[in-house]
Amino acid sequence: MALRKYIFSVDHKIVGMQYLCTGLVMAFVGGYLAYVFRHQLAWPNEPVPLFGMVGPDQYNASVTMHGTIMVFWVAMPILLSGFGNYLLPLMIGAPDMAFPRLNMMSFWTFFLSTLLLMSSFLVPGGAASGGWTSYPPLAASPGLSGVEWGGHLWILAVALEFASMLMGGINFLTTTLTMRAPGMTLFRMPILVWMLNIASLVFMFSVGPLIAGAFMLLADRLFQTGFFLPQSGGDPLLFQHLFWFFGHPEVYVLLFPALGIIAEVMTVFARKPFFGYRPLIYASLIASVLSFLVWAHHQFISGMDPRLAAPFSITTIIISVPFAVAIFSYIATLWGGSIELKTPMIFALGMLAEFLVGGVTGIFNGSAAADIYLHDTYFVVAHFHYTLFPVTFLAGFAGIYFWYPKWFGRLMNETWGKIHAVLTIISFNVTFLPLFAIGLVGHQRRIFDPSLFDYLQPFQHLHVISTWGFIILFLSQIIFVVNFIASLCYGPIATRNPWSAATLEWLAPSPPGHGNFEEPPVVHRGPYDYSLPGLTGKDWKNQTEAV
Amino acid sequence: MTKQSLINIWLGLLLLLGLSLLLGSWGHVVLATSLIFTIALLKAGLVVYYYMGLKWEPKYIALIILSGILCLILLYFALVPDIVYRYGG
Amino acid sequence: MKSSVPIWRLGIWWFLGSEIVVFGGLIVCYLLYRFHHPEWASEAAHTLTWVGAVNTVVLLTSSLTMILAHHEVEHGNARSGATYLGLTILAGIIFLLLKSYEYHHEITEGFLPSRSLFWSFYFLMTALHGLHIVGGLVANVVVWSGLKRRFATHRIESVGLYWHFVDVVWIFLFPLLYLSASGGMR
Ligand SMILES: [Cu+2]
Repeated sequence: MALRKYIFSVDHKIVGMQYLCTGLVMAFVGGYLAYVFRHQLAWPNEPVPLFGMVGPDQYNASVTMHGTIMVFWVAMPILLSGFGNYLLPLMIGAPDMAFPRLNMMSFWTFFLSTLLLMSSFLVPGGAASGGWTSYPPLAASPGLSGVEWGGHLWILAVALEFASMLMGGINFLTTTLTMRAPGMTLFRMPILVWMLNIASLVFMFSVGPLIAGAFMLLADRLFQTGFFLPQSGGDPLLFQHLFWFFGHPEVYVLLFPALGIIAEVMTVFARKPFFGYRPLIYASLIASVLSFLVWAHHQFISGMDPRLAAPFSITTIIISVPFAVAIFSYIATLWGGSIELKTPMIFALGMLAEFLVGGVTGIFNGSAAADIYLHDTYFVVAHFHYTLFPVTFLAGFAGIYFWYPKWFGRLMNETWGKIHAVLTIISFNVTFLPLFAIGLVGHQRRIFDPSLFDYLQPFQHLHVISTWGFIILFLSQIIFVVNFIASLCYGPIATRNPWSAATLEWLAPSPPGHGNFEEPPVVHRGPYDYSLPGLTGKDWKNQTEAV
Repeated sequence: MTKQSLINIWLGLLLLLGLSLLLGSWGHVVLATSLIFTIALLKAGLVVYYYMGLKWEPKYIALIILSGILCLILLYFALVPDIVYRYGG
Repeated sequence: MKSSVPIWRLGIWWFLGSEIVVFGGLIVCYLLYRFHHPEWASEAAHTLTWVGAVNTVVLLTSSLTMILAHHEVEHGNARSGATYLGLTILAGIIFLLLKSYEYHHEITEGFLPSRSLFWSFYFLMTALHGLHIVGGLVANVVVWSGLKRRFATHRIESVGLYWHFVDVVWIFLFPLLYLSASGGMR
């Protein structure tokens, strides 16, 4: 019975939790790998506590696996599948997903891919070490990278993970189109629901060519074909194109759900309707279309036709317009609100501010002229960590603290939550701000031992600061884990709607039972009716309350 | 659709296949190839439109397919300078 | 705005949408390389065009029997629906047999995937397509065995949509790998 209920469950809530927990566990694996190579960078060739000596091969493998895990096994499952599976049916007033069994299959496919990926640490030759982008020819021939099984397993695991996310995306889109509660028109849906669907669409149409590319890469490794090997008439550049045709939209696949999460959090804790709901949706749709037109900004120095550089620079700069619209909507939502700095809100504000830094530095990288210097330096590393860390972790934590009472019927400890939030945000900046500086002086990525380069010596202290920042960041998460687990038993009991929020999921019991709602909800109004005048005792109306 | 019209579509498909086989041995390669692919598009169109029932689906179903194809066209033309002409290679 | 498409059919359409970009991505790569390597014509001349043509007929016919099976089941004739679906399954098996004959022939002649990029593409694309045929066959058998017990129009329509899609993929693979690639038939 318990097996049916908690392990092989078809309930969207259990599947969502399974994704979320797997993602959180993998975050610690990814974080541990980061600790290993950050220690090596700060104190080269000193033994790493809890690991030992780091060799160049291990360094390469840990950098590769850190990137792979954090993007595909942490950010994707937490943001898209975890929050999406749990919340999407609840937010549109549906009893479950459109295809519950497909949903379960999606998680177990994902779990299998996780096992495959983790097993690559154990095979002879070690885990994949061709970078998280897995560029050929290095990644296409085991002879070059010296990694045989780890590389095969990496490709298989990533392809399986894509398949599981595709199953999830099909489910999200079908559920949203067919299972909305009566009265839940498209423009009465919470922003998170919109964002999850846009993300699924973007993922679905960008990932196909890379799946094809993964098959080709695997064939190159296993069957001595030469799809990406110049000596056989293949072209390594093709893989880069396939990778980034997916890779850039992928950033938005992660960003959109994060924007959705903080929209839900901010409207509640600013007690205001979302400013510019429709403009935000339209801006996101435009950005999702544009996201297919910018990918080659990752390849300005790859040897591609320089005539492509100008158009891709221009589209990259154009794409910042819809995102500027989005950011202004969020700021205008906060403007004049009665802001309550609860833990989720601190994280949401942190996400908005830090992501802005990431977005603005992206404009430098997106301009071909500047990028020729900046490419493959720590500036780029800092840039994308300023986008992906806030998106994954700050928005992720905002969502976890926010919906925890709905999931488990208890609230998380607020004081420790705030300490966690402040420590995380500060130590994140301590970790990554120095990397901008290191990058600007010309420090290339993927250098095993910076002490071998004389011109980098004056900047070694920045590596040390960054690593200390990371160690504090990593240790701060212990607060979260303890809070998360302890609150399951000792947290204050939550009512159905502890935050006075207006969307449908707060109508269901905490935690919601099988089928979610006691009676099917009927929707009469938009999702963010806060600070309504003339009410006594409360300032909001749930979406089901009559106009 | 009646059984007979389904069979008629199949006959049309076979006819088109025969036509493209004939074109395969035609000396004018460029014209033959473009005709062969026009025929392939036509065949695929018949199957999708009638057998898969796109004709009776709401418009947004066609939009799903078209978005996919649009992405592919975009990818193809963006890659022509790099892969077909191998700039600098 | 409520959707008028039933849930399961909408799900299949989304699934096919994501399949289009996978196969399409492979075809895009093939075309890009094909235009860069005009010398592939001589390699492609070694594909067995007539076997490919027969296989195209087989798949087109299987699409017909599939839609007829759906047609019959929709009109309440589960028995003849099962017959047509059985014919579809048979056609799928014939396709795979002919395909393996081709593989056997090519491999014994020395045309291995590693021989040249054309053969790499040939084997990868046909193998991926063949795997889809196998998957479709499994689904068809599942539906076929359930058909006798109860009517399930939507199940047969689901597998039908998928089967037609696999047929459409072949409609493009055939001219890509056999016809135009050779620049003329032998
Ligand atoms: Cu990008």
